[in-house]
Amino acid sequence: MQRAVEQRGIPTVSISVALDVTRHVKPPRAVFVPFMMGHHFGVPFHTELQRHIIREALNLVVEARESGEVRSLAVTWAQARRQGAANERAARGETGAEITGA
Amino acid sequence: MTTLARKCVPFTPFERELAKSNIAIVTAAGVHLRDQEPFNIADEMGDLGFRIIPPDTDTAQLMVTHHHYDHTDADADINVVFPLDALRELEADKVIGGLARKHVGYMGYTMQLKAMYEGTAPEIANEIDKGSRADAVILTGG
Repeated sequence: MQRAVEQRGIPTVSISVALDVTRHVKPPRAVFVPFMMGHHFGVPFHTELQRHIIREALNLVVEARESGEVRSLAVTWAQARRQGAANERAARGETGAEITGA
Repeated sequence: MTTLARKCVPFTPFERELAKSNIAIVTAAGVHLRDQEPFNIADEMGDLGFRIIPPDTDTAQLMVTHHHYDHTDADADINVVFPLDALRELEADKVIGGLARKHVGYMGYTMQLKAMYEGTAPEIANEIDKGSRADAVILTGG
């Protein structure tokens, strides 16, 4: 899929959650994120991480000088989960309630 | 020999300014609009179709039809597989120029690999190439 688009003269980057598959497919550019299937851009309610992953991918588009570069995201699944859960609690106002109650 | 294998992979250098570029997302996560026909998950051979998603789509109107991964979190926040809201924020922050006029959702599960490779892939590439005004494309697969 990625090669088909790249062949039209449009630069591409893929977000991968499976490094073995990516190495086999050899896409023009890829960012490996150490997350579960269905979480290519992180976890729910963590827009900062979603934006960060997009920016990492686009930085690779801008900086790559040859085909086949794969970069890894320096965020672990545990970190992403923890931050996402904290954001979700904050969105529900639970953090605020704790502060008020203290 | 490594060099030879690398030559087979197409590579288009990016020669624009990111802040003036339109970005498209192509996802294999089975994303589509609620009023578009869902992907056929009953067919064991998979579904070779794809759905075009406009850039101004309200992400609450998007859903996932896919039975080969757990999409509970994508159901809660579609941005984890299709970050249209995050892309719009990057446009507002002037990191990117804008969103392409077409984004694509397809179901990345199929037993018909040849048909996917020779049919669906070039069809999606055509959609992106013609009328999407995409300057770069972010894809998700396995």
